[in-house]
Amino acid sequence: MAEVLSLHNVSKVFPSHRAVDGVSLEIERGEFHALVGPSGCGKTTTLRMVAGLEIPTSGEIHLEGVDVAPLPPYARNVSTVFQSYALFPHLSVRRNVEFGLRRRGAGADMSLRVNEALDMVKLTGKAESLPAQLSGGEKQRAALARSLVLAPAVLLLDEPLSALDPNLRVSVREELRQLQRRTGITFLMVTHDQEEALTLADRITVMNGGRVEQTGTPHEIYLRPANPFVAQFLGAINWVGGVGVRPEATRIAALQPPSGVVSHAATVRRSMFLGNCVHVETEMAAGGSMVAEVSRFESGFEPGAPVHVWWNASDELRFR
Amino acid sequence: MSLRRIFLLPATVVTAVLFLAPLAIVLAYSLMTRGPYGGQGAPWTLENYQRFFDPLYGEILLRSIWMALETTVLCLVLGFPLAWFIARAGKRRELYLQLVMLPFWTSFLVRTYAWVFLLRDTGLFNTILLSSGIISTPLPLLYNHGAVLLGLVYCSLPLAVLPIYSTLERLDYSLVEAAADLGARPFATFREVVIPVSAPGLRAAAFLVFIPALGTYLTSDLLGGGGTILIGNLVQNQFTSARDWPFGAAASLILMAVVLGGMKLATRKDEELL
Repeated sequence: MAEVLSLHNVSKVFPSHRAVDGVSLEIERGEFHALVGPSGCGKTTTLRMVAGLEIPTSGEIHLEGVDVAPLPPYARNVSTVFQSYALFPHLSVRRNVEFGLRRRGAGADMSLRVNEALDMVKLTGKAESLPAQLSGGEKQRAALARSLVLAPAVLLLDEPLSALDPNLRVSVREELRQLQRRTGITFLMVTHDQEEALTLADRITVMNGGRVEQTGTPHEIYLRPANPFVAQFLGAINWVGGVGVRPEATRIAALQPPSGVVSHAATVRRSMFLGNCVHVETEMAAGGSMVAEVSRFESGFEPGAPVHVWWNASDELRFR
Repeated sequence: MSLRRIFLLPATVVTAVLFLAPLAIVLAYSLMTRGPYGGQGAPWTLENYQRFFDPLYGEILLRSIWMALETTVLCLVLGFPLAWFIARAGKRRELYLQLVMLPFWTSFLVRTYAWVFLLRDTGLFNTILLSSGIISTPLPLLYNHGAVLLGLVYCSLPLAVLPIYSTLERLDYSLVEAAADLGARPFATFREVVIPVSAPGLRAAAFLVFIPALGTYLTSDLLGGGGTILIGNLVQNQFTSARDWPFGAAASLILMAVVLGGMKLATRKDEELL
């Protein structure tokens, strides 16, 4: 049995709405799995049901082979890194990390394990600090250490990077990835940021409207999305007669392209400078608009200029 | 004069005239000698303070402290669940808060008299119990320690609920969830997380209940009997029937010292009072 956690047809109905609607999911041991989707898609409720903070209306949640769906949070071998970190403000970093171990009956090796966890997240020097004395990134690492030290069957992360500075996010992302690799603990992370999911996760589950749209590796879901929703959620896309083409797969030039590609005559409408690249928006002669991504070194597509847009047929995303 | 000072002036004057000046007068009186027909005058003396160390008065002081402590503990124990409930009541919060404050809309005296009517031998409780045959003689519900305690808890409870509510309302509920997530059962979560995090509110509530309860005289006067004379009653008597203002002044200053000492003890060095 490769999967450490599996959800079978799990639903959660709140008085006002159905948050999660028949979700089935398998998380493999040791993988970094991302649950991604727009806000209100049920991803956080799904995570909270795995944590035990919500009890499913129906369905089963198997953790290491046991149905834990009706169990309270303290009876499950999972641990959560909360979006707000939820560090206990009256306890030092060390006491925060010890909290879970003490509840499980502290062994003689407690301080050793705590030191190890603090070392892993590079917080050794801050062990005696109170949470209020930590920076945003340090708080996040303290919360991680508090969960990691328990070596849970699954470590749950609820939007772990959303409270951080955008500048800090990319470096913390890398640390998170390495930490997961090094410890081998199964991570299940909720995020609304598709780029975060693509760069961090081994596998991604895209949710929408309380349902699973697709599960797969980043390559699979980006290059072979199961439906238009997944295709659109993961990145910008052009629609040409029911077929999707990503801007980065769309080429543009003043001259006629080589044969063997799908090609259309078009007129430049405007160029959008995005910093690292330029999106050139064109109006096709046959009707419809098409956005092509070009390097900023090959800009100079003036509004009104006649151009050709083309792409390889193999880059077309087709559904049904 | 700067604008800032102009705005501070009224409060400064009020504090000086209405608080510090009377306090100085009380201090002066406490050091005087009682005249043969009441009143006070020379010579200056410490005798009023020495008199207080009579076991009779010591007993009254200890009884007052004990009564105030009982009131405080009961108010915290009863007020905490109520404050928790209100803080988590969502849209109904405002309504429940107003209900908690409703008693303040009527006179404290009237409310205390209402308890007399409820508790006396011919009061509501005894009448119901007698007519239903559960008891044959009226229960002694009034004019004892329990009645005073009831009256004090009744009128102090809102003062405990409000500060506790204000800290619980700001309590990040994810802390409770995090504790459960880390393996803490509900009671452990309560003891290790909820209580320490809401300690400022609990301390404020304790002070707000303890201090007025320690100086109370109306509740013990109306609901208590000869065995429940409190220090508030002692002070009151000195200024009325006993006509011994110097001793009354000394007793009230001793009461104040006890309050300040108690607050100092309950507050750690690095924390502010209230």
